[in-house]
Amino acid sequence: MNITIGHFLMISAALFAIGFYAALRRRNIILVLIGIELMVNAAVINLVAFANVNKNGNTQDGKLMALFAIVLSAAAIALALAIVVKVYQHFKTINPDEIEEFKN
Amino acid sequence: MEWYLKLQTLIESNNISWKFLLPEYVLLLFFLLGLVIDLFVKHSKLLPILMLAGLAVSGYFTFLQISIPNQNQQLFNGMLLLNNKTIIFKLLLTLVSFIFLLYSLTDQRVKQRRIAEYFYLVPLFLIALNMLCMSSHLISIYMSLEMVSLFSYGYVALAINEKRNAEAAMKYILFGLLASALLLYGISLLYGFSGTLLLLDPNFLAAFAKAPMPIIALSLTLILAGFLFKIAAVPFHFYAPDVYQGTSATTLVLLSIAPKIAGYAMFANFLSCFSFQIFNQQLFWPMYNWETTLSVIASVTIILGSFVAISQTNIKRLMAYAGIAQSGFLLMGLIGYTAIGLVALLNYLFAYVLMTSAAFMLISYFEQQHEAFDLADYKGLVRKSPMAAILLVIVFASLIGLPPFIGFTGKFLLFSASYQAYLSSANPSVLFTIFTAAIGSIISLFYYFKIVRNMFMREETWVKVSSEEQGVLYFLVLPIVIAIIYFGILPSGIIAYIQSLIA
Repeated sequence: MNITIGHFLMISAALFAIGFYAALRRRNIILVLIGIELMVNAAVINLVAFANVNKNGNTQDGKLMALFAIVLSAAAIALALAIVVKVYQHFKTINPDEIEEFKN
Repeated sequence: MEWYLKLQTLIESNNISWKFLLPEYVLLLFFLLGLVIDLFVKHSKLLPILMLAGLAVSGYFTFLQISIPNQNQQLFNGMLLLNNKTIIFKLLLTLVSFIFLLYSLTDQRVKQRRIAEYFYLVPLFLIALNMLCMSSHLISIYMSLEMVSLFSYGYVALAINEKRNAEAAMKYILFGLLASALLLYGISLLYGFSGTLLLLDPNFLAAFAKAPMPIIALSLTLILAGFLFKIAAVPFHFYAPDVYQGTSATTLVLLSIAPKIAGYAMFANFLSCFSFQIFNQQLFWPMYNWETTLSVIASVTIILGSFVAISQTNIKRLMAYAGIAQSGFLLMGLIGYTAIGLVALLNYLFAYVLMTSAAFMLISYFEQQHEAFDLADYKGLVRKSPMAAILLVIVFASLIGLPPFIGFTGKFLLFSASYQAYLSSANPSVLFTIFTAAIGSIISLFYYFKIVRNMFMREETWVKVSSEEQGVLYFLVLPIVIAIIYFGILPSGIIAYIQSLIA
């Protein structure tokens, strides 16, 4: 069986959907962050797959973008985890629904 | 041999580009200086003054860039684009960072905790914002967008009131990461059918005409998600009220303005690749008409922001919803993507910098002097600090758009720009946006004057004795308010100046 661009796209779409669901479910901040990472990884799969298929365009762009996306999402997740630690110190929970100081 | 020549042209472009980043080098230099000096010199005033000097020097170099003869200078093989439009955006960003640093010098809470990061991260933040204004390649857009977002999260988390800060930072970062993941997925789809990430590449648009429309609509919608988050427009506005409420008003002088300006700059850059002629052609764009999309978003943003602001009881939550409504007004400048629209956008952004920074400085002043956080705490404040109360009334009148102030001319220009866009395209949704904007302006009268009524008409409910420090009012807020009045009465100078630069 030939592996075509369609297969990559299907995998990335599935990853994206799973990640989006996990991010919107909001049970636990860590799970939300994992969901966001899955979404970023889906985009990275897309970028690399398209970079190998695209013969007429600039093939380096996609690979370069994939590298930047991985590094930047790692940096953002590190900051998010630091904030999670701080939130846990104050609220003793990491369920986003229970962290509601602000009331209108 | 061919690849060698190609490589040489790439390197040539890089070598030419370095000298155009002079303002950013200055900022980097002053950041490093601040980092080192903070280790050895424990003096509370030295660091912010050094950073202020850095911002002034960098602003001067940015100003000198206006006279660059070659417009639309592409830097680093199209990664960045430098033209007069981006230079105006950069000058506005430098102005707001300067005001922020000058004001935080007087904030007692910052002084007591001696947070050095608060000061020496400002130049670095400004570098990220400047890059976002200049970026014309999807890699550089994504990269500088993430940089700006990371700094914003960090500023919210830098604590003054620890518990609230933690919650605000958590909500901000979760929502921001979600929006940037959506943006990244949209970019990856866009790359799939256009084959390039360079917005200025002619192939980029040519590929659009051939690609299937549903995918284009999907990817542009996902990209829009990341942009709308940055400018706090509906449906990506949820974070703003919580973040504003959990952050000190001093930080909001920077955070409520600077990312928004850079977001609009990036948005304008992104739209500019869909060049003027084909922008509104239904034939080319059957499923994704930018004019309709933007006007619907703008009108929903204005209506939602204005109506929800009426029922708020916390002053910073109210300002957050009012800021969302202002975002909708600013979007009106981009609807038609005409030259007059851009002038209106830049002019209103200038007004927005003056008005919003003055408003948050006064709110922060009331926070520190009278511990006023809710609207109820503002009762009778005119008897305690008449000067600050009168200045706040002027700022609010300008934010509403009442005639003798800068907010009026700014809004007037936005209205006329979108009416012109309506005349040229006859798109009914643009007309609808103009009507909702008029309604939004009227509603804003209610919620801003609720605060004014509390300050002037109501008796004070409690007495808090505090020593008044009025210095900051005279040295910083008063000049800004005078500028609000001056540019309101004589608006033609600044508008003509912006027009001469863009044309």
